Amino acid sequence: MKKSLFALLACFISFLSHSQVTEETILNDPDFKILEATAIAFYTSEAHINYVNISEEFFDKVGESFIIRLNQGAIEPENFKNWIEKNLEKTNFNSLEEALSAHKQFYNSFLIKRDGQKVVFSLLSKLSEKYGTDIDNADISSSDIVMDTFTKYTLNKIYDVLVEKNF
Amino acid sequence: MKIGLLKIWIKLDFTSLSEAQLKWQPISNLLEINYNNNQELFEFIRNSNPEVSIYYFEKYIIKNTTEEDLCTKQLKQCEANALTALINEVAYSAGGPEALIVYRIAHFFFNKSIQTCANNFEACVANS
Repeated sequence: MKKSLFALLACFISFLSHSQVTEETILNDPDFKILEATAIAFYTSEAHINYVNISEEFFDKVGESFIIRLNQGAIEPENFKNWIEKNLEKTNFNSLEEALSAHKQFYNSFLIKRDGQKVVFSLLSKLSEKYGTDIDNADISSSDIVMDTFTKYTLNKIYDVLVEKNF
Repeated sequence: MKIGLLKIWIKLDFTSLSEAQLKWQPISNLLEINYNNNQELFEFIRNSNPEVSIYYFEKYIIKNTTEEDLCTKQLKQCEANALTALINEVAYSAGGPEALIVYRIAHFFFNKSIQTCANNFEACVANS
């Protein structure tokens, strides 16, 4: 009984402390500042911009027959090779060699982008957990003040930088 | 069968409704299973209504229509790029530990991109 009461009290205190978290709290958190600097550096980096340009070109050429398979691991090199060998005529590539070369370029830029993204995601996850988000059980409807603050301030800032760069 | 839907099938090169449904299903499943909540642009996926799904598929992904003016073609291309980028990001991370973060960030950029497409379209029409 005592244990239950203690657990309840701990939950209540945790709830109270998290319920007082405001945007300002997040914005002043040194970890958020690190996250923001890392995210801006990543999303405005040459590697990321390069990836976006290459992927647009690649998807434009490979076409919708491929795009609708993206959730089936279609971009993995072996899967792409198998698919393109049978579906070259559905794409805008002129030859198998051209398609494989374009995919290689796309996939390499994707891997570079993915590594940079991982660092941002990791910082975001840690900060969300710090302010009480249950990462493992969250879904799209879950409230997440860190994510909301990140979107409102950092992502908008990033977008403005990208627009300035004429991207 | 509605004539409008038939026209879309022809444009999309689908031979039947079931084929159209089958081709759409991977994306539909992915988003429906993982993100079952109010994303207004993806209402169609929640419903899994093939007619509506195909409409959006046609609107955002299919670009090679012949009868449209330059501004509309550019708009379609721009929207297609935005949707493809979203699907690519979400598809790769689906089911993984970072899926939700990826989805939220990808969706932010998708909304911004769609807005930029609309702005560019307006500017194109004004200048043409």
